[in-house]
Amino acid sequence: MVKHFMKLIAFLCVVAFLLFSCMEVDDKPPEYEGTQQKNLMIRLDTTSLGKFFNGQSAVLPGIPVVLTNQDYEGFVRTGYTDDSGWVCFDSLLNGYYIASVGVDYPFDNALDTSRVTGQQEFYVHDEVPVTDTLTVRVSGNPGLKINEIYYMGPPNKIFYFFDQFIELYNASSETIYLDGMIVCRMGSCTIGADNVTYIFQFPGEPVTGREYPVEPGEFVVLAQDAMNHVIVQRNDTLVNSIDLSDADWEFVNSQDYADTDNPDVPNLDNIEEGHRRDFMIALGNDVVLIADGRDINYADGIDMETIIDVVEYSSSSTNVKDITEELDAGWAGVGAIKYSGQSIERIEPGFDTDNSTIDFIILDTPTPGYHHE
Amino acid sequence: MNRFIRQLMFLLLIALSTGYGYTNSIGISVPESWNTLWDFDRHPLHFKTYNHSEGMNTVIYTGYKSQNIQRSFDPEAVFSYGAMFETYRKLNEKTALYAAIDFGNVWHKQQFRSIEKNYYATYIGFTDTTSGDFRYNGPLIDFFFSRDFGKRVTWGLGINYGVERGIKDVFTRAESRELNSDVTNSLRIRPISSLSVDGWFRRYHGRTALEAVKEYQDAQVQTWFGYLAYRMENPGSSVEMEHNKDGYELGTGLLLEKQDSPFSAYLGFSVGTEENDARKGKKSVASERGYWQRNTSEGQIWLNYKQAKASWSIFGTVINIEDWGKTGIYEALFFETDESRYLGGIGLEFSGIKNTRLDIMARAGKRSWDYRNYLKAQNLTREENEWRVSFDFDIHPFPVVSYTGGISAEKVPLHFTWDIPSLTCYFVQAGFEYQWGFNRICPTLVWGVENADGLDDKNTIWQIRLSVKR
Repeated sequence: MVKHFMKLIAFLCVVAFLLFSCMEVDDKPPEYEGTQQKNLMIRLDTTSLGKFFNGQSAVLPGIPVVLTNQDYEGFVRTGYTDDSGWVCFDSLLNGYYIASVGVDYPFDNALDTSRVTGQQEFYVHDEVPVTDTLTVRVSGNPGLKINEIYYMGPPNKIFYFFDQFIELYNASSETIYLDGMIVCRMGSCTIGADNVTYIFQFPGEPVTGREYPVEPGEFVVLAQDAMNHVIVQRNDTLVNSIDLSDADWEFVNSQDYADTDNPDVPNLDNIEEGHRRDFMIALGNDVVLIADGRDINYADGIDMETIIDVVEYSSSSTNVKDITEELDAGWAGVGAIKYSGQSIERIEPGFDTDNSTIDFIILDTPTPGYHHE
Repeated sequence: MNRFIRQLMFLLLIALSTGYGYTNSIGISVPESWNTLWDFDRHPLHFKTYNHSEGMNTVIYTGYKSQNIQRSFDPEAVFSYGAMFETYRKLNEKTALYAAIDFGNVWHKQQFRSIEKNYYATYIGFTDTTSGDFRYNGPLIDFFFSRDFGKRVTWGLGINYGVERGIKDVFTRAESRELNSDVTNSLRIRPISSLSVDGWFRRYHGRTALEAVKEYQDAQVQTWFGYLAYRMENPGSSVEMEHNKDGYELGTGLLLEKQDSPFSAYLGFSVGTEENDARKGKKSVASERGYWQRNTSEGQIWLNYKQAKASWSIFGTVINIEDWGKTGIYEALFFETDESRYLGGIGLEFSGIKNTRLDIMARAGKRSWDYRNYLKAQNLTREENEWRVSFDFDIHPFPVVSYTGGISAEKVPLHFTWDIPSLTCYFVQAGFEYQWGFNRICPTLVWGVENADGLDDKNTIWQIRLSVKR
């Protein structure tokens, strides 16, 4: 009897062992979070500044470098470059990071104290190199910039988004004239800017006109409808909207007889034949382009030489890009929420690396005509 | 016959008791779990209402708990109601079965942001930006089957299956859908008449689908890793998430029970593993957010001494739980938790007074957590003593009427996610049983209160049950 019993026990043990051994359970990983390292060399791009540095590379000691983890909220670290221009971060989490520099640096040459900016995106984990280079530049690329786009609409339940605006900024040291310039909403482009959805134009003669100046450091607000949107409804659903009655310009489609027109604000008019909508841009993803107006034949797209600035935005980072990296290497507004009152604005006035992922941040409230703190 | 039924029930209970602490069989005044209608770990309702004799039992119940002492993502109050029907039948001398269906409703009032039913039960949880009432409802089915093969072998099968749907009352209605199944196979072998050897294997699986939807603006979901770190998910008019759970447990036990001897003893041991993963997105394009694993081991011992008018029980249990988790993309360890629980106690069932039965139980122990979050480089440790005393009575002054009641006091150590170390809980239960024809009608009322040192707020608990046994 005992013999049979022992056999049965042995059999059950074998069955139990087989049952457990056939279960595939993940093993505990050997790597811990928070143990990664990243060393960044901060290099000043002196390509166009050779005369100031006698053709030598420039080292920038003691400047702050801000490292922001894009996977988790609130993981921001600041390090300072050493005498060799290196900054080292340790105890980092795995993930996707943006390192940024924005500092007024006191050069010991004719540049005096100038703004130095730059950003670099990279991953941190075991399979990427520990060292990397962050190239910074003295000031951003100059010129007229799309500085802010407010497209999300205010918090409301009636799908109101007619308080959209685009803010331009003169980031150059010279006066720029808006005469004849065009503002376009773009569709999905194959080559360059070959798919124009809307095209509105400033009055005046392109390039040579001198009627509508923008001084250096000046903001220009282009409103979809230049009115006070806070009181546009009888109920209180738009209390978080904005007052655009003092906008600098207003998009008006003269082919749309229902489009509101503030007589106190000059207009950009639609020049697309048969188009009967106001300049409305999407709340999820879209492309806004400004060009000098030499090419207004929208049927074959806008000539690349005439393009001044382009910004693509998208709420989702997994969206397919509508324009090539030549025009904008990234997206602004990833994570922005529809009908939230949020806006996207450059991190600094006119800051432009042609990568909107880096250049723009999301603001909780729009700032028409001025820059966020 | 009574012995057979007792053994059978014991087997079924062992098949159910899967390593999550001793469940007092001497008579608990109040249920241990209130927030959930059902979960994997245990089913106190069914433990309590298990009928040791053949028959049917129909129960309607309602309960309310105000959670003035709460964590951030806990509801402010929980209201529940439901109905249960259960039956226990002995089909022949070798075969018995138990079946129950329980349809419950749980209403989480003002649940702040969490779209999880119990945010703190998982190391990877999802929240959105809405606060509102979540209403859950769904059926739970229990089925147990037992069959003797000869005099020395008994086979038991337990199946638990549940579906539940939860809807948040905030426009346009976030939703959770949960489906769980749990199967336990057990075998008892008696090599000699006074010794039984138990073995059981449990396999369970669960899937929870969550959907956050646009309310005032796009749904903004946050994925929390180990309670301390989070990432913002891409907003959308609807955001879908998913949890999957797989668990295995293996246990064995020895029961020593000599015929005509008042002494019996049980020694049991079990180990288990549970895998959990969390994903964001639709099934076809879901992206992994993380994985965590739980490994448990438990040992327990019971010693019973049963006489005509008094029965003694002494028990002890040791539980160790190790949890760890890794992130979804980089598969690096982001937390580790070591949890242990040591518990011992004594119980007395006394029926020396005419028409009266008394149950007294006391237990004490220690519980500890050591939690390390590597994303935030934080360490949370907690070590607290726990105890519980209870007194229950059952008086039969007349043939058709009996009165039941009980009181208990308990110190409950709180999970490391609480700001406070423990709660002190007091419960009172009262009811009676009336024989009406072939039926016995049993209304029961439970009232309780939970206090915390240094806090003015307290939680209050009500439960009303009406059961009809036949």
